[in-house]
Amino acid sequence: MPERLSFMDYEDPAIRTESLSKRYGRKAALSDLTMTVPRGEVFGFLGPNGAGKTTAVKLLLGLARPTAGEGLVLGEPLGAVSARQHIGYLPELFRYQDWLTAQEVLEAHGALLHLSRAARRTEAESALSVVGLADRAKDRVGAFSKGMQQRLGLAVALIGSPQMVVLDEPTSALDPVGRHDVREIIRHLKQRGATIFLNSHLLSEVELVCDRVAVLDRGRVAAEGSLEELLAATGAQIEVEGLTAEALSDLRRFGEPRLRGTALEVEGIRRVEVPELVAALCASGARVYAVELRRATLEERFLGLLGGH
Amino acid sequence: MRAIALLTLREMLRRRTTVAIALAVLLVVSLSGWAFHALVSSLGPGGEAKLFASEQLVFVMLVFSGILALAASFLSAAAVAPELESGVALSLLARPLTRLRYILGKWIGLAALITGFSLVTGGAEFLTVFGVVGYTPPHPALALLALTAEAILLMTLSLFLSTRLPTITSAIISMVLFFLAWMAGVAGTIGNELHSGTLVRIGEVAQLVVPTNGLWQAAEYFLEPSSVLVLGQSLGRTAENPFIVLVPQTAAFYGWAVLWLLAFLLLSIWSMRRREL
Ligand SMILES: Nc1ncnc2c1ncn2[C@@H]1O[C@H](COP(=O)(O)OP(=O)(O)O)[C@@H](O)[C@H]1O
Ligand SMILES: [Mg+2]
Repeated sequence: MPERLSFMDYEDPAIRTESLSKRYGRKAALSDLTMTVPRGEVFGFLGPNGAGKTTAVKLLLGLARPTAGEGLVLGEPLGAVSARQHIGYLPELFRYQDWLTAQEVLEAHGALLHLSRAARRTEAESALSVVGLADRAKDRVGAFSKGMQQRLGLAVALIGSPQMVVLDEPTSALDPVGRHDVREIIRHLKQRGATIFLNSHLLSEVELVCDRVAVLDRGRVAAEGSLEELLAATGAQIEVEGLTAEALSDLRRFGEPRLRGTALEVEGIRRVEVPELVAALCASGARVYAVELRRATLEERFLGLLGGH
Repeated sequence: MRAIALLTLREMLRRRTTVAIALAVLLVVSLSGWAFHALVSSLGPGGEAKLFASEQLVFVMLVFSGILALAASFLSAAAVAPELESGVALSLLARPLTRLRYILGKWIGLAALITGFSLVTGGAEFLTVFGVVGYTPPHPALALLALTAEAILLMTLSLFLSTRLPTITSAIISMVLFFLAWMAGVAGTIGNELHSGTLVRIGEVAQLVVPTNGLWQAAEYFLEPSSVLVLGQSLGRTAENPFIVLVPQTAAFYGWAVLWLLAFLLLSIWSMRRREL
């Protein structure tokens, strides 16, 4: 369960928001976002297009102002300049100065982070090699493909050893190799202890790297928790013989039992209840041959959560 | 702030627009050199040629101030609006950079560019005239300073507009206001000639609303040779018209111009701080 501490409780998470909301005219882009992201976590922010993910990120970075609610990022109020010293950001609509070379873009960002001239150069070079653009360092960004520009954007987000990296749909323009590279970069950042806030509408992307996710739908959080929690077992399939009608109806305390021949399905049973279920079956004299837990894929959960449409 | 100023300056120097404007100005300078040469050839060297040359130079500098205004309006708008629209600003402003410093950096970069541009091309023009006719206006540096200030005023206005409007719109509005101020100057002159108080007042009000023409007149006064000033004053005239100015600008006007500039700089900062990306 997502912890619901009061806003003044201090345990220094990377992000904490309280009823954060944003309206554009009459349109509620984000409603009542309350969440906590501990430091060092890879946090996935999932939701279909238009759910409010980008809006949330802009509020966290101080690029837009909330219409209600408040929040802390790296211990500072939303939009604080000092917090941004430690945040790397790849926007969803990324664009970099097309009249600069890749190296120059990164050095300019280094200058904005007040890095020394030497540090700017070395950080730029290493960031470029991390994203696989080392051999294009001296090329103008204007000549880059969309995918290369997104790689450059990743490099920009890595400059200055950030404590938190915010990636808004980081693989939207990347090929499968690029997607794999992004996962590697995220794993690497996590090892370094950085917090990663990953916006995505792609379940597969989030599933592979995130410790915890929030599912956003039409500006509201529909579910939040670890993947383990969100993908909790939703049923068990059992091969059983000799089950009496009495025993079958007794199984209702675990979930919704359905028997077809020897195939018994118990819909909605939790993992911890499975041994008890098996014990009950055996006690009733039935013979159990196989037990299999059915887990929902994130895809199914996602569609289930958004089922109200 | 310094990073943004340097970035702005570098962008302007790399863009083709700036190169094109510089070429256009060089063309003006060389054409005017040719015209001055023709003047000397027909009148022969001497006082008469210098008198005509002085008035011709005023006209050339009027054209020059127009080009400078155009460049200031467009370059300023092009330094801000496209960045905000394209998303380049998203990653810049997510850095530890306040909106205040972002705007001040832009302003400093643009002001440096315009000053350099105005001093180099204006200086080239004065040198050309000196080389061909042997004439130098009485206060060339002060005249260039006034022209540069005029361009920086317009640049600041355009900067403010471009925090909210697209490049072309911002630049065109600035140019329209620049021409309006110039026409107001002409209207004031006509009002003086016709003794129409209303026209004079319209001229004065418009001049204050956009003080660029007042700075042009300041520059023009610095360009008029003393013989013209003495002649004009002996005829009892103080009339301001776009081609002859016989009285210097008042300190009050300069003060107003500075306030005007600060006001639009503050408006730019305010607009940028309120702007959402
Ligand atoms: N600047 C804006 N002006 C008006 N509406 C906006 C603006 N930005 C976002 N919205 C609206 O807010 C909602 C959420 O958008 P967004 O945060 O971009 O969604 P996501 O990133 O999840 O796809 C959408 O309905 C979108 O149209
Ligand atoms: Mg988005």
